[in-house]
Amino acid sequence: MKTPLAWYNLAHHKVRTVAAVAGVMFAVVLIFLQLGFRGTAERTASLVYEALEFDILIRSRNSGRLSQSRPFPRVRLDQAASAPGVAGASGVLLNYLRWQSTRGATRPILALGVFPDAPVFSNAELQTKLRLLTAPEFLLIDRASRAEFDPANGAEFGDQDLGTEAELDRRRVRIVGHFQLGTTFDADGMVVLSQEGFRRVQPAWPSKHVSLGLVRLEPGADPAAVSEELRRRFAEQQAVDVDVFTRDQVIEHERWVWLWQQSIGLIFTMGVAVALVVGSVIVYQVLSSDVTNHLPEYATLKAMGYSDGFLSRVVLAQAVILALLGFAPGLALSQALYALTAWKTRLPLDMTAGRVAGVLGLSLVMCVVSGLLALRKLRGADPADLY
Amino acid sequence: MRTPLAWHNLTHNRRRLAVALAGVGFAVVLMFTELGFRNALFDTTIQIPEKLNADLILASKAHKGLVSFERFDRQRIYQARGCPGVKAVYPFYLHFYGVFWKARGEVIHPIRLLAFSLSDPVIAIPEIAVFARALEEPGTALLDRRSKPLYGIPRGADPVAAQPAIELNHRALRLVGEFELGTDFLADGNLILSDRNFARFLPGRAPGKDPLSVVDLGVVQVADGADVEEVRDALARLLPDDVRVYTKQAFIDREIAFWNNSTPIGYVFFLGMMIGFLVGVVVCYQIISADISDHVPEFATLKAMGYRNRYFMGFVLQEAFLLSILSFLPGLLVSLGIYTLLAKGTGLLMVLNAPRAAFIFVLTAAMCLCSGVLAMRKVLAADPADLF
Repeated sequence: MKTPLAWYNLAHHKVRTVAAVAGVMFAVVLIFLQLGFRGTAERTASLVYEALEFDILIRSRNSGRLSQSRPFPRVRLDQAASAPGVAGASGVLLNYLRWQSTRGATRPILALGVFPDAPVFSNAELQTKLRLLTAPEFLLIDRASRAEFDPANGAEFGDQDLGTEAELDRRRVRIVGHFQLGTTFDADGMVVLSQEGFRRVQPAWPSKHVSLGLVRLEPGADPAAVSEELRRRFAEQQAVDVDVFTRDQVIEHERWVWLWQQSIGLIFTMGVAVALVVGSVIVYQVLSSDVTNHLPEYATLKAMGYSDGFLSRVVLAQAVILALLGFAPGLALSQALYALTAWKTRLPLDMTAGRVAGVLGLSLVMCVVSGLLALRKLRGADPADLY
Repeated sequence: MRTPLAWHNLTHNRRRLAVALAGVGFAVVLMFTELGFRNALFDTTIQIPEKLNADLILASKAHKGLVSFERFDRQRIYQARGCPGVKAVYPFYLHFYGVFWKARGEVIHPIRLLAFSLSDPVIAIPEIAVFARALEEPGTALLDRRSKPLYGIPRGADPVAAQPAIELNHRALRLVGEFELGTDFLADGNLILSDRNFARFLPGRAPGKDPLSVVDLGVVQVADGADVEEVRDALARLLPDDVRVYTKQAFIDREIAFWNNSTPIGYVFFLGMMIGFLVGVVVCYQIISADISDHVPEFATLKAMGYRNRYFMGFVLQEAFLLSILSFLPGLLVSLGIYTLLAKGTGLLMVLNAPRAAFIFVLTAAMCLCSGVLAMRKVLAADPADLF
């Protein structure tokens, strides 16, 4: 093909092409946005787990999402620690507590109670700052916590809040440090206390009970084999109050909970499905109207002796060009919308390489398939109809 | 205009019309689904206040939404009863954090408790009267039929007949019947108990005090003939500053505003709907502009015959409006189908009522008219001299 006919076709009708590109672009944005929203539900599932240091996690049986973990006897940790391949186990206490700022703002916040001397977090900043928890009333707060928790500058917790007092479940506490983790659909704010501090604000917490058991393995130990062994031991002792997960398993389980059990994840999953259908229909509409618009020209070419194959290549080339032209601004706009959403809601949406590649592939496929469908029209184009 | 030119133009090419209707129709479906999702989330959160037999609702000053579980002293209920114009005030108790359901010794999951004195007509749930006597017995409760299946009771099974061994916070619980409420963001299931049973299961609810001495909501009924807003103002003057008085509607609006403003939910679905709208504008523009390009010679002829620009502007807008009506109807039908499927598949509350459909229709019309205005330049530019 010496004359780049596909390109000329598009370049000739600028306004029409802009409209077609806009159509493809919005389809791309639509899909990116829904994927991004669904991504926030997945992120909700993994954020806290990813910040914790463990190879195997012990948690109460059948508690749905992380924040619904309930206390189980700490003796399970001692039992786990004696298994071969286990280097150590430490407990974390976890509950929603009532946060109240000195200015009176109240909101439930997710609180973790940890042993500051134990390796608890894989998040380096958090683990380092644990040594600030030298008194029961001291706590660390997530900088990403929503503004409703009432930081001094009205937007984000930071150095200016150090030393500030607040209440957790009506007991006085003091902010001694901050860290960056992020908000999720499960928790839009988080604080970390020592276990002593946690029990001080939660006097009714059952003694010798923890919410999560972080089990660390010796180098070279196989998490799957050790977790199997732990499950076997617990079953033997009829300890039906806990479940044992490897790191991958617990994140997978939590992902399942958020994507398929919680309404919000179900809705986002369906949002992605609807976006795919609507996106495809729009792209088809764009390409088919483009072919229709050029039908007389195509019929003329046919009359001149050009083959159906040649015309198909023109249409497909046009489809690919439209896909690429629409994808580029679509990606840019989506990134802007991701940033806007992250700023408005504090739920970070990540434009991952996999997602970019996936949507690019998808828009190419949508455009080419729509082009092929539109081609059927062209096959029927009869030079005789022209005049 | 005697000849409905816009109509003829639109319906002349059937095939193109079908593609056009599919394009705009799907934009309509997209807006409907996003709105439906948003409403599904909001509708479920306001089910409890919706069902309260209240003209006014008392809540703690710190109360922001039903998830905040801010409580107030029962004394306020007694004080409110003395206010002129008030017929009755009832305490209503809720508890979620720290309530654990355990079935067959293995399935453990948090559940929300709703409680009140069984002789108080606080909530419009007919099963309460039916099971009132059974609920007076110690350790009994009604289970929400729409609780998610993760409580160890298979969907469709009769929990009363099956009667699995259930513990609530380490105390035996006996189900005596079912009622219907629904799940929301917070709770995957609900139980209704008498206030006495509620206190039995939650001895530590108000540390050091009677568990019933702190109340979640006060259900206020106004005397016949009294003005609701006047009574609200009188109550607000009478009661100390630690409680607030809302009309039922204001309370519901506050609940929705809480979810809308201080959680990501409202924003996320607003954005989804906006994208649907923009997609619709583009699709609609393409259809109208393609139609205009095809008929430029005809337009030029009409212009040469003396038709004014005003006529063509009206024509394009008419065509846009017709397109919005024609595509709204199939869009509505498809959306109804999707709503039904989603409601069945997920247990979400997908409600499509007339005001919501009307809202989407207004958006659809606006969408098509926007495109019409964009496409109009083309007709106006048609020059009779170009014809030949």
